[in-house]
Amino acid sequence: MLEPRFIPLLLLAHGALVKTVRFADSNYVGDPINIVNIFSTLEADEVMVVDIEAAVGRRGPDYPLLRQIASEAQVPFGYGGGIGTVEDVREVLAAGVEKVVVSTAAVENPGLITAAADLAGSQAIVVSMDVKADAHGRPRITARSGTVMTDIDPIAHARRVQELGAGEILLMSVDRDGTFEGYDLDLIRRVASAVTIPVIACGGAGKRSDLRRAIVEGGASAAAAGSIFVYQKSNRSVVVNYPSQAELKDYFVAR
Amino acid sequence: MSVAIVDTGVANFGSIQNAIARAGGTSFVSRTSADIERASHIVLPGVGSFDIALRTIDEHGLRDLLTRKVVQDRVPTLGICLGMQLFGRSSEEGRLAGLGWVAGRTVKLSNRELRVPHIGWNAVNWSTGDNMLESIEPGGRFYFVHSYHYEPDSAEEVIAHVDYGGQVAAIIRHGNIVGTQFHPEKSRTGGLQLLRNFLRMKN
Repeated sequence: MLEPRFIPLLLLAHGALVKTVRFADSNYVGDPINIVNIFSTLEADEVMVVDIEAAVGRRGPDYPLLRQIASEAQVPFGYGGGIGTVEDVREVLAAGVEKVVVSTAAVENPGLITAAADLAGSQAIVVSMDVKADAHGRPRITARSGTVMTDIDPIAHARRVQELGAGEILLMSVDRDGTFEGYDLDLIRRVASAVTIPVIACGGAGKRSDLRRAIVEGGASAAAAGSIFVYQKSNRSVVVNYPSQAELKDYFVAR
Repeated sequence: MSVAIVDTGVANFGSIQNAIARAGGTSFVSRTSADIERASHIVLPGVGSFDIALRTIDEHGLRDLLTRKVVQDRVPTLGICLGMQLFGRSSEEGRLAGLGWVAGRTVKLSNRELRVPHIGWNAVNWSTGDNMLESIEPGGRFYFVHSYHYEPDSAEEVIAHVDYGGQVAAIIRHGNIVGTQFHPEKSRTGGLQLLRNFLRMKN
């Protein structure tokens, strides 16, 4: 049986790992090389690192740092941030990455999704959809780490990126990010039922049972989270943690 | 021992090199005939697309040499994910002719109830033994990330399978040629053990 995945999603800013609240208020978490090594030792299902400054600063990936982080990732590793060309896709993968996460380019240059999928296969291309409510409360796609609002509907965007060749969607709720309020299950359900590629839910997990709800109630194939994997609790003291394989099994078999 | 990881244009070379090092081997990414000639083992990496991988091998002028080393000289060869899919005649992912080392073809995963790509940890099972499976527990979880899968013409060459809307080849074996649909370089202790078993193969 294919098991649901639980993915620590780590945010990189100027070479350090940080955690945000609603994509703002960065709090220092630690050294990326060290923390990826810890999640690798804890046997996380996958680890994702997203550079949240690259797209805002219109920079490409920091390759020397990426190679160092990747060398610590004995588990499947995804990277996003500042990917603007197919050459970036090639170089990111070569650094020791299995999946490339693209967000801004999926909005500003959708042709890149197709070119990247032709080059690396759809299974290696994850589109991150950073969703935020607009002034009317309607969920809309944002670009450049949530700083640029668009009028794109997330359901339409999900279908479109699948059509363009994306192999997976990272569905990120900007409004729930770092809030511990739980996932936006309604949004997850709507997106997951609109596409046939896997959907990774992200944004708002406040307790481990939220991870399960994203899968069982939301229909996501994977649940990603930042805060609950790097903080002890909502007081934001840093304690890197990950459920053991036995605990994970327990979530899905016992209940 | 030195493992040549064939440059297929796009791949997670760093991950494979790190894992081979952890399994006790030394590896290098190879683009030239000299690289292939001196290799004790050959790895065709995964992550990538069928035509791009074959075109890159052809552009480097390595198709005939690789075929000689693998088929005639019987150099131990491991294809990972896409790397295995290159072994056969053809793939629904591309138009070019495959390497033709193992009779078979690559087809798209298709199942209306399951999501494609097949991404994540899934149980790998087998019924008969093979030295590639030594010290690995049947039913152990390995990491898959693929939209296509390889079907050898001879079912006996499938030495382990995974269930994803039916049985899919997880490991194939054709003499000195081994293919895994999962990524051993990212599959924890089971994956590492498989790499160790591969590195122990001699021609």
